[in-house]
Amino acid sequence: MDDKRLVEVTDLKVHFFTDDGVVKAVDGVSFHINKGETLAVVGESGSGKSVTSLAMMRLIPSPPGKIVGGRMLFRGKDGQLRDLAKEDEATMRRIRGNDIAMIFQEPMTSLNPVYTVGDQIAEAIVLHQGKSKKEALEQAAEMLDLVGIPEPKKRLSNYPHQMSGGMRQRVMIAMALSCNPSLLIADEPTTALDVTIQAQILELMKKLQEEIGMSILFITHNLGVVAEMADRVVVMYAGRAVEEADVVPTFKKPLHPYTMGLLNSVPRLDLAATHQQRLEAIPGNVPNPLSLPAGCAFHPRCKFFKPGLCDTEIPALQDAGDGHMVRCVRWAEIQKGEAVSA
Amino acid sequence: MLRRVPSSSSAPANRSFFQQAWLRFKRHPLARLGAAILLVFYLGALFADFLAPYPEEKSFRDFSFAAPTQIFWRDENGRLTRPYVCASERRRNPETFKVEVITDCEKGRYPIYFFTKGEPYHFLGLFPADLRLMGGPWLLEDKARLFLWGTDDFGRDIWGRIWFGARISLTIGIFAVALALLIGIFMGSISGYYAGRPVTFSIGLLNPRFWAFVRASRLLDHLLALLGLALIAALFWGMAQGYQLYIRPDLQRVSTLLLGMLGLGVGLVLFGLLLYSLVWRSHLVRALLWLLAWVGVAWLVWITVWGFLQSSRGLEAFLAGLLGAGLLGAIGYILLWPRIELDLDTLIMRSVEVLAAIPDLFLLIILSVLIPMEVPPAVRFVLVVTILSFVNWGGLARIIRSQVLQLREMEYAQAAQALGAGDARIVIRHVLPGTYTYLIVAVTLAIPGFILGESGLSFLGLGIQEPATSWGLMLSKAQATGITAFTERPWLLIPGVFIFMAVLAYNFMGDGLRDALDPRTKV
Repeated sequence: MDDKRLVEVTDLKVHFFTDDGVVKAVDGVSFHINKGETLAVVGESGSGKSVTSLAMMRLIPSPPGKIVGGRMLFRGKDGQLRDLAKEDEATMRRIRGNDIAMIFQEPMTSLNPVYTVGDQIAEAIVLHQGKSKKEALEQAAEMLDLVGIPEPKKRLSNYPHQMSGGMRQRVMIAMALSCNPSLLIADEPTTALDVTIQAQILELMKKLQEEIGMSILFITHNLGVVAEMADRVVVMYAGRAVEEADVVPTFKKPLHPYTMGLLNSVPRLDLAATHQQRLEAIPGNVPNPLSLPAGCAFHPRCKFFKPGLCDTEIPALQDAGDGHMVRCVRWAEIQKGEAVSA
Repeated sequence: MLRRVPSSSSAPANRSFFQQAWLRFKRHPLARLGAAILLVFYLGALFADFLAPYPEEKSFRDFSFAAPTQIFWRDENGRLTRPYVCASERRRNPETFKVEVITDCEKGRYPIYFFTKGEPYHFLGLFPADLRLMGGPWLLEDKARLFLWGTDDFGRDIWGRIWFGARISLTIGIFAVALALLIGIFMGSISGYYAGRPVTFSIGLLNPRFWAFVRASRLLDHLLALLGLALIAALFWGMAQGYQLYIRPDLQRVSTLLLGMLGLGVGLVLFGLLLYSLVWRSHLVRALLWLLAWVGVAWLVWITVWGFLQSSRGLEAFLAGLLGAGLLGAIGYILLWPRIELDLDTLIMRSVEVLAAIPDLFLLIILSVLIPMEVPPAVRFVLVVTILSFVNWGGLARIIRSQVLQLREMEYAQAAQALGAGDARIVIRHVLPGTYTYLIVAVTLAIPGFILGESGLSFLGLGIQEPATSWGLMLSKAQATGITAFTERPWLLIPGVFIFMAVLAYNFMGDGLRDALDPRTKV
C-alpha cells in the first residue's frame, strides 16, 4: 500500500442474512483515504454508507450481518499494516477508540446518563493509554478545552443532561479524539443539530483536523456539508460506489446521473433568488435491497436509461481521468454532453 | 440604574433524582407507614436483648404455655400506682380442676422498673451490658415472672423471643435477596446481553485455530504459568490447613464462621490474581486447563455410570450404559468438534423456566431435607439462605434480562463499543447502572417472599432449628397444640401477626419506592 494512504478498502462486501433473503447492504465497495484528508461518503438512506463505516470498526451486528469479502488495509499508529477484515476481536478492541474513533449521529443518547462527562472521556484514556484516573481526568479537561467548551475543569463533573445538544456533540468529539486516533469516522455528526450549531461543529472538526492531522471519514447525506468539509467524495447507491472523485469535479462536473440528480435536488440560493430554479427530485424510490434491479441498480430512476444497455449487466467502475471514477456505461456520452435523456 | 438582585430570590435549587424520589416517597402515606413499621422492627431486632426481660434460651419448665402475666395498676386500696406483677405458681385450680398458672397478689407484689439492671448480656455479641427495658430485683431473684405475651411449650417468654426471632426472620430475607440478586444479575445480564448473539463455547482439537491459540504465547509465559500453578497449589494447601486447624473445631460460633469466610474471600482473590497475572498468559496452560476440566467431567460421568452398571441388571443397566455412553460421547464431541456455538440466552432462560415450573415449596422442602440435622445454627442459617435464593433467583434474572435487552441497544452502549470497551466492561459499567432503580423496587418487593419462604420452612421444621428461633418456628408451636391454640392459647399466634405485618410493610414500602423511583413519573 502506498505510504500516503491510511486506509485502502478493496471490494468490501457486507451481507445481512435475514429471513426474507440476503440483503447485500455493501456489495463490492472500494475506496481509499489518504493521511490527513477528509473523505465524504454520500448517499440516500439505505445506500450502505453507515454499514461501510461500521464494517471498518468491525461493529456489524452478527448475526445477521457478516463481512463476506474484501480487504480493509489500515496503517495503525504503530506503523503496522493490518487487514481489519481478518483481525481477531482482541486486536480490534485495541484499534477501536485508539486508532479509529467514531462519533455518532445522536449526541442526546450517545452519552451515558449515569456518568459525568469527565468520567466518560477519561474511560477511553484509561482503557487505551493505561493512565491513572487522575491523569486521565486532567487530559479530559484539556480535551474539553480543545473542543471549545468553556470552564472545562468545572464541566468535567457535569452530567450529560446538563448540557445542550451542541455541547454534547463537542463532548463526543473530545471522547473520540482523546486517544489521538489516526482516523475519525463521523456518521452524520451534525444531522441532529440545528443549523448554526452544525456550522460550529463542522468548523471545530476542520480546525482539529489541522491541529491533530487525522483523517476523517465523513458520512452524510447533506451535500452542503460535503462541499464544506470534504477533499474527496464517494457517492454510494444501493450498496455500491457509483462515483468517486475530488470534491470540485464532483460538484462541477458530475458524471453519474445519480450524482447529478442529487446535486439538482439541492436548493441553490443564487438561482432561487431569481426564481429561476425549480427543485428537481429524483423520481422513484431506493430499490428494495432484497431484489435489486438487473444491471445498473439506478436504471429505473435514471433519465439517461437506455433499454438493452443499462439493464443487462452491472457496469464496472471506470476511470474517467484524474482518478475520477464512475460506474456508468454512458459516462463518456454524459461527459461530452451527448447523452440524451429518455 | 442597575441594582444587584439578591441571589436568594433566584430559582429554586435543582433537585437531584434522589431528592425528587424522596419527595415522592414522602407523599405516599402507606409507604411511610411501611417504612416506619420496618424501622421499629429492625430496631427491635437490634436491641432484642434490651427489650427482652430474659435471655433468649431461658425456660421455666413449670410455666409452659403460661398465659400473659397480668399487670396491675391499682394497689390494694384501689389507688393508681406503679405497674406491678404478683407472685404466681402453677397448681390445680380448685374451681375448674385444671392445672394452670394462678396469680396470687397476697403472696407478693412486685413493681416493674424500667431501664433497670437485668441479667447480663453482650450487646451485638461484643459489648457487655445488663440494661434491660423492664424488670426489677425480683425478676433476677425469680420471685415472680414477667411474661408480657405468655410463654411457649418450654416456658420461654414469647415477647422476648419475638425480637430474638426477628433477628433471623428479618435478616434472612435481606441476605437471601442479596444472594439471589447476585445470581440474578450475573445470569440476567449474560442472558440479556447475548440474546440473539451466539457465543463460541468451545473450539475443539480439530480446529486449526485451537493449535494457533496454543502456539500464540512465549516460553517465558509458560514458565511463569508453572510458577503460578505451584503458588495456587500452595495457597489451596494453606487454606485447607487453616480450615482444619482454626475453623472446623469451633464452627458453631458466628465470629469464627465470619473469619473463615474472610479467609475464603482473601484466598479466592489471591487465586484470581495469580490465575490472571501468571497463568492466564500461557495459552498452552489455558488449553490444558480447559481439557482438564472436561476430562474431570468425563471421569465423574464414568465412575457414576460404572457404579450403576455394577449394581444393576437388565433394562436398568442398559439404560444407564446408554446414558453414560451418550454423555461421554457428548464430551468427546465437545473436545474434538472444530467449533460449538451456544445461545446463552436460551440456555439460561429455559433453566429459569424449568425452575419456575417446579412448585416452590416442594423444591424448598426437597433441598432442605438435604441439610444434615446436626449442623450448627450459623451454618444452618447460611444454608437456608442459599436454598431460598437458589429457588428464587429466576424472577430477578428475568427483570434484569429485560432491562439489559433494552439498554444494550442504547447508543451509549454502542459508543462504548466503538471506543474499544469489551463486553464485560459494557455490561458492568454502561448497561447495569441503568437498571438500578428497577432493581431497588424489585428487591424490596422480593424480600417479603423470602421472609414467607423462611417462615414456611421453619413452620414445617425444616428451616431454623431450636434453640435458635424465628417467627415461623415460633408459629409452629401454635400448630403443635392443635385447634386449641385458637381458643386456649391465642398468644402463640402473635408471631404470625408479626410475619403478616412485616410482609405487608415491605409491600407498602416497595409500592412507594416504585412510585418514587420510576423515572417516567414527573413531579
